[in-house]
Amino acid sequence: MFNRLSILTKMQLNNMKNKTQVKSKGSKLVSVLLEILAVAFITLVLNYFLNTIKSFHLFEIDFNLLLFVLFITQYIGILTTTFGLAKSLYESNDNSIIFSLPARSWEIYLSRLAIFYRSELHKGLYFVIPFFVAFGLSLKLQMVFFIWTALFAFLLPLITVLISAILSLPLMIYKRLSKRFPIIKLIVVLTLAGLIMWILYTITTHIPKPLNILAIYDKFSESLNNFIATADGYSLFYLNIVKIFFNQEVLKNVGIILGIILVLGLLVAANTFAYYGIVSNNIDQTNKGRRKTANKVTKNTFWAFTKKELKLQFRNSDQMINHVLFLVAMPFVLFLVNEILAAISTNILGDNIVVTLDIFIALLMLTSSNTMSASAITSEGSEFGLIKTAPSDTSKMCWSKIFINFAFSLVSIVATMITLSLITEIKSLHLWLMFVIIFCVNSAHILWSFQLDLLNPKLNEYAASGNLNNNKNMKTSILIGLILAVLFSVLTLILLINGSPANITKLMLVAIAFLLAKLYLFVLNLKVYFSHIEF
Amino acid sequence: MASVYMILSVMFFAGVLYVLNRFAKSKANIYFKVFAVLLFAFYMARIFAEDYIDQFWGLENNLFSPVATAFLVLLKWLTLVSIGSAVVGCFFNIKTINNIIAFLGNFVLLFNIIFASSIFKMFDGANWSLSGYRAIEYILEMGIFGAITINYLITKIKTKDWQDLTGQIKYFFIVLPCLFLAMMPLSTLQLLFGHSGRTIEDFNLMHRLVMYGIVIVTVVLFLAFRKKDKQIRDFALTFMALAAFFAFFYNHNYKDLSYTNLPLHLCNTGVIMVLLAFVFRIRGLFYFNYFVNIIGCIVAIVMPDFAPDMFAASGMHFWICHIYVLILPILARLFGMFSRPNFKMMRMAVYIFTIYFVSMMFANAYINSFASVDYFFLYGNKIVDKIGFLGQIKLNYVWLPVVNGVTYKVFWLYDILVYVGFVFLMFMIWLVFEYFYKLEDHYAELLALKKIDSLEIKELRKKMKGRKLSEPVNPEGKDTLKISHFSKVYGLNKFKSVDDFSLEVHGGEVFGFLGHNGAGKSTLIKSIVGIQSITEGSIEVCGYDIKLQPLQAKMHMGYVSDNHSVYENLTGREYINYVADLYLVSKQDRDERIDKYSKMFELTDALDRQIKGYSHGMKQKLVVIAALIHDPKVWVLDEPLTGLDPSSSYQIKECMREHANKGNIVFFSSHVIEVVEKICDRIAIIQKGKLQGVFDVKKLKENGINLEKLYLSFIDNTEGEEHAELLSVQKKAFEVMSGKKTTKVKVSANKKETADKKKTT
Repeated sequence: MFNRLSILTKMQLNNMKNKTQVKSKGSKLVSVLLEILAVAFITLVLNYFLNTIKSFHLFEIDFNLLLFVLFITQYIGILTTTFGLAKSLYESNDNSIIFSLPARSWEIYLSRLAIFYRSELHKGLYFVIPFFVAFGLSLKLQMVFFIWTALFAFLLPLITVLISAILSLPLMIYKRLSKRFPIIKLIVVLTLAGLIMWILYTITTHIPKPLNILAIYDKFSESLNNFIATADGYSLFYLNIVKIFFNQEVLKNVGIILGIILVLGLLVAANTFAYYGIVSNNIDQTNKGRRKTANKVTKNTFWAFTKKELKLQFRNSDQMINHVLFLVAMPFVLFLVNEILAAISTNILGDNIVVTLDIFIALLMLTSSNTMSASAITSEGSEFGLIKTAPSDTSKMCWSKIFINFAFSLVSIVATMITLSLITEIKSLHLWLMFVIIFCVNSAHILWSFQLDLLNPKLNEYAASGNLNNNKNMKTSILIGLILAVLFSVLTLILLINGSPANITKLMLVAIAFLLAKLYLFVLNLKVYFSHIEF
Repeated sequence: MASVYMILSVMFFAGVLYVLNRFAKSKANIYFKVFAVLLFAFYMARIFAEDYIDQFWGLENNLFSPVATAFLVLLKWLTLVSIGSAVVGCFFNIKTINNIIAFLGNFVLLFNIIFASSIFKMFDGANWSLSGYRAIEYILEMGIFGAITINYLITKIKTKDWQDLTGQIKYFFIVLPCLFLAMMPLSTLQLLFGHSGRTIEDFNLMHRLVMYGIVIVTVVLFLAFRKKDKQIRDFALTFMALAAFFAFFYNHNYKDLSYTNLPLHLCNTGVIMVLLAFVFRIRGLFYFNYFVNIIGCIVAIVMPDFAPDMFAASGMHFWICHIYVLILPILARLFGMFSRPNFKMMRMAVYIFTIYFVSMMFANAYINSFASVDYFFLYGNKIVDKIGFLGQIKLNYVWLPVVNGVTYKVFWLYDILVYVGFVFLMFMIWLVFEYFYKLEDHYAELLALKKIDSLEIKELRKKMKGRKLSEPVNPEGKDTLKISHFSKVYGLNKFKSVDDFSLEVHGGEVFGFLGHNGAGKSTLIKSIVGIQSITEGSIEVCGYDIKLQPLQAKMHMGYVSDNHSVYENLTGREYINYVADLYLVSKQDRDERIDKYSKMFELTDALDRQIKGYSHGMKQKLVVIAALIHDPKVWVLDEPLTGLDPSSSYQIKECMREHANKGNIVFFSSHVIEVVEKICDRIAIIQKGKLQGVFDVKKLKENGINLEKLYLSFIDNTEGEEHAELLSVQKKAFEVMSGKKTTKVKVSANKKETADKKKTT
């Protein structure tokens, strides 16, 4: 049993790795060394952050804070893992292969959980554990605190995965329902989005105007501490965990936690019985009648690709909701940011910082949505064979995909600019500057993201798995987007601080030059590499 | 009098060098090299004392008129460039540099002799003396310099190397200004122009220009030298490294000798180590510079902690040294003087850095007990000022060892953190370098592929002999699928997945392609339809070369893949229309064909439903309709009947037969012998990438040859009677196909392997 479980887990882990890169011993050592350095660095930064907070008396570095950070991070972990597990357990394309292997369904189930446990363990190393260590160092706590930290580094991910495994079942039922009746999904998502927007808007209306942080600092600090204490009321059994860290009723609390793990384990075990039944029940085969349509000739290849692409986008409810949310989210987020900042009486430097912040947030949001381009070719999967065998300039497919990404971005940028021009007092020159920078940098990023996929498409992997999880190109695209957002924001701030109108022109020229350079390189790469894609 | 002594010195040394070269011949020009080293040593000894004139700003001074000062400053510059060229040039054999040494060197020598007394005055002021240290030193230095330049001139005259004189003159005047820009006495701008009134700091205009300039100069140097000979590139790098070295020590003279001014700061060590690494090809030193000093220089250039007047010798010292230490390792790597770093080299750099770091920790602790120094900023507050939180750590974690009653101070935790931070930065900069290496490789590959593409177009033009490129390259093969000596290698594999495969299929044929899984069927099919590239050989579809005329060839082909992949969210009709759009099918044709085939495959009702609701068979039939929507001349199918029910299978087989009956080619792969036997006119058997044979199914049937046995004869592993029987079937089949008796039998690849293994045992 354990042998099969281990084989299944290893097999899935290997499948997730990039098999083209064989790492030497040296580079493995470097990777480990870099990870250790990174964890040490994060711990150091967090320690510095906590000490700074302590010296500013913004909020107390105490039991409550630790509990607050712990349960918030764990709740987020549970949420993401639940979604990930629901997809991996019930919807993964390799289910059909893995279920044909000589293994029991619960072994497959547990192997999937093991993968997520490993991933949670790894994630914990980058925030939760460094935070605990930094916290312990900051309060100069006893060694026993660090020993509990080491122990819970392994237990916390286990709890997260077990809870997520249980929650993934109702989530799956909801998903199946919403697949059959997409309107349910649309209603749920839009309701949730509306609710979040309403909450955020309500919060912003409570901001005193003009906002003088220094004058209300003590009150603010007190409110913050109260908020943390109140929020801790929702921490459930994480309270017992933190009590263990602080040596409070250790035996009792350890007993409670072990009991909870046991109960969760039993529930998961019960879940395994239903697993096979749910996985093997596929509703995709459900037929729906449709009226007969006429055959239509499209004007040219570009429109043929675009039409097909749009149909696929609009018929995929997930993508559609993403697009709708994104179109609304960016103007709304920037509206909120500017609403908050408008409460603060700012000088010229402050105004420049507001513009910079707007550019940063907009670029961050836009570029993170460009993963669509970073997986444009990959997401064709086996269908790319048709592109390769078609007797036309199929590289137009790339332009049609870019066009769609570009069109969504442009609508969002324009909506944001209109919102900002209506609700803020940002100068029109600065609005134009923002528009040019955001438009050019984002367009360049779309091209860059597409180029990543063009040079290294994962057609076979996608054809086999049917999902884009762990797609390296998408991760790289997000990273490049972040770097570009930081770079252009810093550049904007530096040049705006001087206040010369010539600098605004310079900024615009830099953004335009960047776009043109990227366009040139993209066309060069497209011409050469598209025809060489094989799979 | 000074001039006379100088002439005597020149005559003596020139004579010695001439005699050595004439009577003790050496192929390696060893005597020139020895004199070059001597010249280097004498120059270094001279600049150990400060020039008297360097204390002035501008052309006004108490020694010379402004015009004379300007002239002498320029002569000093010329002399330095000539000395630098002679020192480095003696180790290379570059015609233009030889000319510079021979002509510019002697010209400079002549002026130094004529203005010797003024030069001495420039060195030591109005009270100079011929018996003074610098005068004697300079007379000897000029003697050695003159020996080199005169002997270069003699060699030039003797060898009568005057061919392409215009070219030589042209290069002389192109290279000379470059050498001038690369090597300049630090006080030149200060003496010629006085105070500039500007400083380079805090991202002011000059600071920004300098930073842009560094990038531009690096790029220009790379572009200028990337296609030059290795010798020229090595000369340029060594000359610049020497320029940095000279510049650094120009500002370190005996008056400034103190613990503070010891060249122990990171970038100071860089200047020395770059030259040593370049001259002696010491990898450890180079990679130390490459990973460590570059970071130091970037920090120094971006955040200069030193801002004198822009033209001041001390300012020039700061900028010239840092710029050279920054760009030289990068250029040396780009020009291939040193290879790309790997982990071993990084480790080497970390070791040297560790030794340097620990040395500086203890040097700071020791020297600060009696003097004030701050090597690598480990003792002072320069780093703490920039990174605030380190301040507390520095103050709180101090080790105070007492040795012989003296207390030393080591900021141990602060030092460790700085060390770790720097090593982290080294790895980060390695990542940046790696990114640029990838870019370099990528664009080299891109250019190579572009060249291949243009060569293919040229090849096509040549083949077409003036005909339109859209016409078939082989007009006679318009009803044929022709595969000639096709081979395919995947990626970096050492073996061929398909090896030297040749075949011709003609109109009206249903051609079956048999082979077990992994035999190479799909590889060949994917190359025929243009999904995969061709390693060797060619494939013609209706006379069009799939590699050179892919669009035209694909227009005549329809393809059904083995994975029946379709866009699941489209309806069947939308999918077919999408394919029809790609194949430019008219409305009338698509209406007609969709109607015909959907009826034939009983898909009419399902056509307007989303494909995700289709069964496996329905999807396969949909793909078949899409492949036939443009009525292709060649229809290629890869395992089309796998997983289909008998009814669907029958429909597709009927369709294949019907398509061939219209004079078209149907080429399909399968490993189901019964299917092949029933519908094929001819078959080919492939095993381990090699074509085993082509057989006429009708003839085989007529001669009672069992196709299954024939197929097995190529792949079986049996022994004894059974094997003999299979071989006899194979033999008979070949006889039937060739029309005569044959004794040759192809042994199956597996069998051959087994036999080979047995032999080895």
